[in-house]
Amino acid sequence: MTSYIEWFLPLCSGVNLFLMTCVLVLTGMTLWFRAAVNRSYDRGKSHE
Amino acid sequence: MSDGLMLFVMLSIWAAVLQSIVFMAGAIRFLMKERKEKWDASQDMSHFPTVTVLIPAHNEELVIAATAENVLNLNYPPEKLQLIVIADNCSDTTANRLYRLKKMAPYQDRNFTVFERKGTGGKSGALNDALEQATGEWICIFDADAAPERNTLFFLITKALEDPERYGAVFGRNKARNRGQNLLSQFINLELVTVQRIYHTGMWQLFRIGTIPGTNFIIKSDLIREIGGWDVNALTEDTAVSFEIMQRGKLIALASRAEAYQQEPEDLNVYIKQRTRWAQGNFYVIMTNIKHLFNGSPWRVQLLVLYYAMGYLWFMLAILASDFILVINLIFVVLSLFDSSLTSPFRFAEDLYVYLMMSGALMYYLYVLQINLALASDIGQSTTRNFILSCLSYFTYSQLFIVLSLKAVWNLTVNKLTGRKTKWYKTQRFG
Repeated sequence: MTSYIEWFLPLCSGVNLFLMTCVLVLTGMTLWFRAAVNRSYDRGKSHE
Repeated sequence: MSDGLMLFVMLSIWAAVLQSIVFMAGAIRFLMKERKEKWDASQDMSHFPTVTVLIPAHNEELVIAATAENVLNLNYPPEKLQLIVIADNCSDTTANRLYRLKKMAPYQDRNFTVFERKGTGGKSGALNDALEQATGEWICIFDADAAPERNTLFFLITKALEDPERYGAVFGRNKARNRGQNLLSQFINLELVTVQRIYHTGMWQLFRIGTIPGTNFIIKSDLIREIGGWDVNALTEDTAVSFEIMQRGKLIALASRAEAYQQEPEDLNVYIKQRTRWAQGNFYVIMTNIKHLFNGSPWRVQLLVLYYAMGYLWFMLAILASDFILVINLIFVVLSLFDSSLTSPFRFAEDLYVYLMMSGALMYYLYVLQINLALASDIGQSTTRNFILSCLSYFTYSQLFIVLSLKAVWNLTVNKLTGRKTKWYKTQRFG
């Protein structure tokens, strides 16, 4: 049962770290985009 | 066995998360570019091509007059616009309502035909028959319940004119006009916004791949005639046509500003019937196009087949497998209260279960993030209520996908074994 664990656990760790980093970057970009949209359209400002 | 199943689930989650990350990155790039674009819908349209708008309508008396009037009032040169509304096997007042509209002063001189049809083939059959009367260089399709924005056709054609040789079709963006009606229509709205603002934009931005929806799109008249019209055997005729277009090396471009409102189901039974038909249609498309993965077809066609196969075959099996593991483990947790010697067959070595849970949590987080990025790009939709719904959607609305997929597989299997013909179900409208 543990034959593949030796290489699979580090793989899990690496892949999860990579995916989490990507998701964090996307979270930042999403928040930045949302803020930019709100700046453009909120408080009665007209859009271009 | 249990290790193999767990590995399959883990790899599937990684693939699903990676796919979402890729599309989301493309979508963000597209949305940022879109914000900076400037447009002028009051420009000279004398060089614009002629367009025939086709609206298939089967017993659509509740909505058809408003839809036809919307089309006649589109911002497009009236002399370049032909409208054909197909009253297809109607037993209600659909045709009468259209004749009444046609007699009204503003529309008497318009190129507007009410085509009363008695024939087979459902929506595809109706479109094929109307195509024979169409004179426009481009064909535009709207469903009977569509409410296009005034500049929708302008945006579709403007996009087409960017590269008229390469673009065989252009599709717009559909929005739910009854999105606040009840909980179901609110969930459908979240799905619609996410598919259109993340998956459509991401796929177009990264790969120049698009698929035409059933409504709110244009296609070159010559091209649809060359294809042989719409496939009367396909339950999702739009996806079948999309593959035909791409097989010919043409692109299906996205004009995201071309917006049209449509009615979404407000009743769970109506929703299940509509989505089961879609799922059956998509399985049919996968089965008929899977050969393109191995026969040297254009890479966009192969990628699209892969995308459909991943969504409807691979990820569906993975969801079933993970739900199976969860249920079995829960059962054994309860049983072990009575007999401590009982252990689940799905026991994972060392920290594997932790990593599986982490991957699952990541997928859930990304799911919520995607919806909220999509909502942020649609004015007025980024609300606290929608945020809460997006968090709940994963455990409620999204789980319906499993039921619908299994129902579709069951229907297809029974049809195959018994030789039963699939029935085309028309989505019920709400007045």
